[in-house]
Amino acid sequence: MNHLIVFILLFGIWKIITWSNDPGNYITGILVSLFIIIVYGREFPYHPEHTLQPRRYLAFIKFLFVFLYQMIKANFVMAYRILSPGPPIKPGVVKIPLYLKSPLGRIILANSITLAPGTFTMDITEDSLYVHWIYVVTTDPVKAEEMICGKVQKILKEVFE
Amino acid sequence: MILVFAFLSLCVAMCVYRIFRGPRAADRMVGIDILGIIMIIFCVLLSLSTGSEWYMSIAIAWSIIGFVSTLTLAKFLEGRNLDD
Amino acid sequence: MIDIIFYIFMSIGLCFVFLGCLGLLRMPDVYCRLQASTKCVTLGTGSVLLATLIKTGFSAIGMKALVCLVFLFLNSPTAAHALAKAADISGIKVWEKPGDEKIYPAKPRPTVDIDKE
Repeated sequence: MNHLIVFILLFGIWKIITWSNDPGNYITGILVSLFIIIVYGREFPYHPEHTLQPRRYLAFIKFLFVFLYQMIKANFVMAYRILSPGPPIKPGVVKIPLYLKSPLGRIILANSITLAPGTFTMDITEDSLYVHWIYVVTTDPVKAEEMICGKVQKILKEVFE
Repeated sequence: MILVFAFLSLCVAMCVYRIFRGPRAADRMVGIDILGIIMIIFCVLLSLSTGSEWYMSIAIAWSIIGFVSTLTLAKFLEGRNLDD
Repeated sequence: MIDIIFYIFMSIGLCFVFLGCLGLLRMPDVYCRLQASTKCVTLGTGSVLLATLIKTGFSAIGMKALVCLVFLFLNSPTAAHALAKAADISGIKVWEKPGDEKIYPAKPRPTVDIDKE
């Protein structure tokens, strides 16, 4: 089950990248995917039963919309900061709590904080996240988590746990 | 099309200025990282103007290689070995 | 119609790439430069790739643009995170506006100075 999902993923990427209907193309794709699974198959810490639950996909689509809105907003805020004279910035590092446990969820949370308005992940430890903020408003961890993450961490907890 | 290429060359000139003038090594690395992403745009524009799909393959390979090279430069800057 | 959408996305993307490179020149410190350039250049390149996908549809070029878009959105923030961590370990301080109070208590780790070792 676990290996089957990874195989479908790898073969799909292969078909999209090459994009042709040759029979030799199919055989090469299957061989390459099998080779990768034999070599690296044990290194995917993955919950196969999670892929069959539709509520996780719904939550992920919700996350995508929140992420897209935040990213477009971030770019306009950053354009304002770049273009105004004597950049209006007050940078600093704040620490916010982190209660996600799954590794994939942590990666996606860190990447979405990097693309969110004015914030930037610098370091990640077991239970906290160090964020470089370009205009520091508060240094209290809980309030900063409220202002930086918003709903993102809750939605990701719904998706991956 | 020529106008677009001239516009992107202006961006490349700014990155190169930062690479030459950066006060520390980290600034130069930021410039190199951004330069790698701008090369992807060049590949996409070449692919659109010539209609050849091989330029898109170059763009995908360039994005992966740029990522790995940035990671290697970051490890070098940390002063660690490349083994771990 | 498709052509108009293509030109709109393309010009938005190129404008954001230009802004990102301008931020690379104007910001005062490594972390702010990383912020400005990573955000703006990632969205700009993503917009150019999306314009390519809209223009060419389900062909080889369009599908490769889609794969490149996914790779870019996964790789670019991770690379920036690695650079920021490396800059922090190598001992670069966060820039402060002259005259401001120090309000930055959180320190990721005792910074190691490479020159001393």
